[in-house]
Amino acid sequence: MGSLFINEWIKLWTKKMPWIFLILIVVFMGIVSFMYHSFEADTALDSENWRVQLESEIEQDRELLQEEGVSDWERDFAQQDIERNEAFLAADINPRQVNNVTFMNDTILGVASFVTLFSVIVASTIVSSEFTTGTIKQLVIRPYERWQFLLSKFLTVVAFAFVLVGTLFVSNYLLGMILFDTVSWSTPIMEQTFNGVGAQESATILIFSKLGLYSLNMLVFVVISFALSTLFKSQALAVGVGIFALFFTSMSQALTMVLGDTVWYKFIILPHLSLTQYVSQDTLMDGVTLPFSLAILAFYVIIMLGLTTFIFQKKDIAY
Amino acid sequence: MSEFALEVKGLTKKIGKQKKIVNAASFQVKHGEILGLLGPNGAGKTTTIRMIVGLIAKTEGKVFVNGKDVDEEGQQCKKDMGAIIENPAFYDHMSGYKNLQQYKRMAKEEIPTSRIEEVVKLVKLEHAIQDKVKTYSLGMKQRLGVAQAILHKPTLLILDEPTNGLDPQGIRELRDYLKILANQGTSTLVSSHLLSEMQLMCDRVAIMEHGKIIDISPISALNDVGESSNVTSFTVSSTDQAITLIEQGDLEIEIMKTADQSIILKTKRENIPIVNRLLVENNVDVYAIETVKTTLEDRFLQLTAVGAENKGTGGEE
Repeated sequence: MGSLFINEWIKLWTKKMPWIFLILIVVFMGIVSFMYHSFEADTALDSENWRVQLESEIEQDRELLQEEGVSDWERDFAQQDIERNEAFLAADINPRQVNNVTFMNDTILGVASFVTLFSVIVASTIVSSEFTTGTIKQLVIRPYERWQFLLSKFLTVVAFAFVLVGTLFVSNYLLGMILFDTVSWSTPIMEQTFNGVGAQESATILIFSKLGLYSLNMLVFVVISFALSTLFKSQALAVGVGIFALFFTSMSQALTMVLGDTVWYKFIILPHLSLTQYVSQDTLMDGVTLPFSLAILAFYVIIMLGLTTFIFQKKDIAY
Repeated sequence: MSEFALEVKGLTKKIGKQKKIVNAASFQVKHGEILGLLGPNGAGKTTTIRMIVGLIAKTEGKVFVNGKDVDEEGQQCKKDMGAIIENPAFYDHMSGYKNLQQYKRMAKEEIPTSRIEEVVKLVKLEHAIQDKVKTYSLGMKQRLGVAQAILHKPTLLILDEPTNGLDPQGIRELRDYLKILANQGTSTLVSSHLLSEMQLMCDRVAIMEHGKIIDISPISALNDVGESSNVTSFTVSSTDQAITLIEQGDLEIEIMKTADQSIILKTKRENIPIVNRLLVENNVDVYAIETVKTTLEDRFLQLTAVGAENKGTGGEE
């Protein structure tokens, strides 16, 4: 079994594709970092004067509220602004500090979609390419069970996905150190959300929970593509569905607002494909917490992998 | 140890409810023997072989490798087998050597690195083994295919249409390897639709048609067909006259067919000079007398024609 995994690992890395993916992750990360560096430097508040600056902003907002002829939405906006700034002052956190950990917190998932995309591509090709080249027939006549081949391939994809996540993290960390001031990992950061004030956590917790939750979602996409490409022997279909699901999840927050009240919505896979929301909120919708989401995802993953293994075990290979 | 390296009993593959693409095929491969599985395209040879190596599921029947049931000791059986299924396929982006390393790692019993060099030498790929497989010719791929099939020293070699796409040189080389391996005790099942190939390669031939094994004979028996009753062709000036004379001659002669200038007779050897004298004495000029050797091809056509007739009279279940 170990030798099957080694074989798969070698087959993967003797191709050019995975190397290109690694390089692209680093290049994209670099582009995002330099963009962040040039924009964020303008709005940064220095560590001496940020309290004074926030207090004057609160003062301006208060004056605005007392003026006549101000529209409702402007009042709301000013009110929220005051609340947020007061919260920052109370917590003694500079909201516009720029250093290596705030940079990482803001950008760690900036190119993470590419990690998912590249993992999905590898997951979709690792089984179907054996069918395309005909090498599958020389594999399954070896003294192993078919599920062992499938498992070694799946583990290879998962390992590759984590290599990409590792590359993402390391390049992000190094760029942060090069481009920004280096501060402690325990620096508190106020995570800002849609509704104003969010959770206040140390940088370590925020960055790693974002990365961890994102990676869990990525694995689900990998499973979807792996299962589809094995069942239908179509790389195009598997990549297509994987990417479709990836983009569809960006709509899931909006869908949750519309369908969140229905009984069935929380049992389908879609709303649970954006786990990173749990970084700044405890529930996705009424009664849906992180353990619930993980249980739903685990259920779908087991079904998909189980079905794939069962069918692959029995399939006639006639190429 | 069982008497046979491979024993196939009542192997059947059904597609859908009715269609049997392999129908109760049974045959054995003895130790050190090369058995040919011969039949036209679509006869079910490939399906039979794919069922033996476990690529597709059997509908019915049993397969034993060295006496072990593949359904019960599948991995043991696969350890004893090496196979090339149609054109061998490789990882094109890797060198021949790296491809072989893949198969080396998959073996259940440790293969020394020297064994790779040994098989590479046997198939004469030393000069190209470090090149990527995508640069290989078809013949070289076929040789690499032989190398991967024999790397783990299988006792049973299974080759499905191994000569497909090979030039005469490649076919000859393949034949030589098989002979070498057979001398070392390897048993081989090889399928082909090329009669001439089977004649040169195999010890015995099983003929398959419409999913059924219709005949199994030693190749010597097939080659010898017609020795006792020679088939002879006479090229003559007048076929009509010759036929009349032979029919009146009251000899044990069967006139098989007549062509423009020749007649083909099936008769005993002693009768040939008698027929010649008869013709010459009656002013029929004889230009040539030739022995027509009955080949495996005739035997094959004869057998498959019988097969077709049987089918017509309700041979199908």
